[in-house]
Amino acid sequence: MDNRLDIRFRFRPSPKTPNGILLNYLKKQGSPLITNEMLLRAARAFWLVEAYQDCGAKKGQELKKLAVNMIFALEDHALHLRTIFGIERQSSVSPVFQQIATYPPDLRVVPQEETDEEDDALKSIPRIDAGGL
Amino acid sequence: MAKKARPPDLTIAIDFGGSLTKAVYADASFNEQLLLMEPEVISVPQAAIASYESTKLGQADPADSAWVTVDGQSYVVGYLARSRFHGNPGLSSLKYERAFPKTLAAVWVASRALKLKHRFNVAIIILMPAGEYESGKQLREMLEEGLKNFDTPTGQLSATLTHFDCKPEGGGIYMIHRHQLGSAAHRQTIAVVMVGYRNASVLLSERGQVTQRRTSNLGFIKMVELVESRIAGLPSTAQLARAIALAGDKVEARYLEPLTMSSVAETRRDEVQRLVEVIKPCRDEYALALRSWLRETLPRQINLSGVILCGGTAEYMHIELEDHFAYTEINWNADIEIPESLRNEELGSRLCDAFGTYLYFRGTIADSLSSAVALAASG
Repeated sequence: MDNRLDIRFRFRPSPKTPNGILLNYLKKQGSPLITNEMLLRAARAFWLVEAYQDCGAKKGQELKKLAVNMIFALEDHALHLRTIFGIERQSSVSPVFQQIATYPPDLRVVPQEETDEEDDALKSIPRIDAGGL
Repeated sequence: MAKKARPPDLTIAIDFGGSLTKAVYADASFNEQLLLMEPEVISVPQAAIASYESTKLGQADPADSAWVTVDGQSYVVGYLARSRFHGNPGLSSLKYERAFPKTLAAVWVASRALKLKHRFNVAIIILMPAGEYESGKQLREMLEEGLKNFDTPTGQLSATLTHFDCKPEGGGIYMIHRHQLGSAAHRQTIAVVMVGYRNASVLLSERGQVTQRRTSNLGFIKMVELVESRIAGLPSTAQLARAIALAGDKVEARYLEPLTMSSVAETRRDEVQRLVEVIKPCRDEYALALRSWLRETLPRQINLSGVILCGGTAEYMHIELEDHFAYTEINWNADIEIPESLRNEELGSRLCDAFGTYLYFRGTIADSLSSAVALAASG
């Protein structure tokens, strides 16, 4: 049995409103496949992470990884708009972002200690002949 | 008293697969860990990295956010290259050219996991296709220089290359198999057949010594390209390759569904059916080409005592390969047992070559350090 979702999106905006202009542009892309993909791509970037969080299908690091992925998608599109319209990136970044972008303390350098038991351990490591390689 | 010889702070064995970079790395006590990175690498202007660093949000894993700058040239590697900079896996360019930034990036990622200082010693062994294995010397020179001073997301690193080696693909599996055979290896003729994402390679060993190394471009990518040439509008090669591999020898339709684009159930079913109809003959065609190359490389007159099969694509083509080598004894992956700490469900036995290479390298490092200690004591 086919248990896939069947979603129909119906909306009838006036053609001169922003929503009308947007949907008209998406609709005239030549193929329903492209139209669907344009709509879904945008929706995924905005709402997919929260959708996964809501249904519980991804948690913790997996959810965070998805969020990073979607941020890349959003940033990519921002870059696309900047390129097309010649808009420079703002040079100052929010100090809050700078703070969370630095590496956390557990990734910082820690001194390495020498141990005295390594000689015996070295002797016990099996030697393997390269056999002409 | 002579200064005690100490293993390198980081020992790493890297297998630059066409679909995944697989590495086994260890600290100075040889506690092994697994490192996986996407195969993509892309050279970008330094400004692009500065812009990325100043705007990125949150904290990704080092393996997913790797870049290196060396001699004024910046490279983005792995997941970051794939997702943010549209890097490609570079299947058409030589592996060793791309191996340089990928090695630096892997060293940085491993150094983060081991919490190393900005200065440390490193020992590196790399697996290359048999055809490019000779480039190992060039790679060593590039790495010796490059490691001394390179920039990373956590600042400048300066690593000293204490040991370096380069082996042909399949070499790790061959060396372990030979080790297991012991003195019997001197009486046998063994072929190691490695079929990966990009290449198919053969190592032939007679009386315990490798006498032939051959490589071809008949990796899994050949079959994926056959499918791509017959169906238009498919998603990325990486997605297609993954779906074909999962669909297996029976070409199970359920794994192909994510490749379809239509939102209409009926059209999707048709698209999947069409994919199944195309993949089946492509698989036969690919098997034919692979078998023909193997027949030419390993003619029956060689009289093999046995063949060792390895590589992710060899597993995908296991029926055809086992049939092809039915005349001799077949062994898979030299029966290498991957330790629990390195196991990865999706990776399966694709780590065997890198792990075998690591075991060999660990032995040569220990050997060189023991000799150094003995020399110091006698001097």
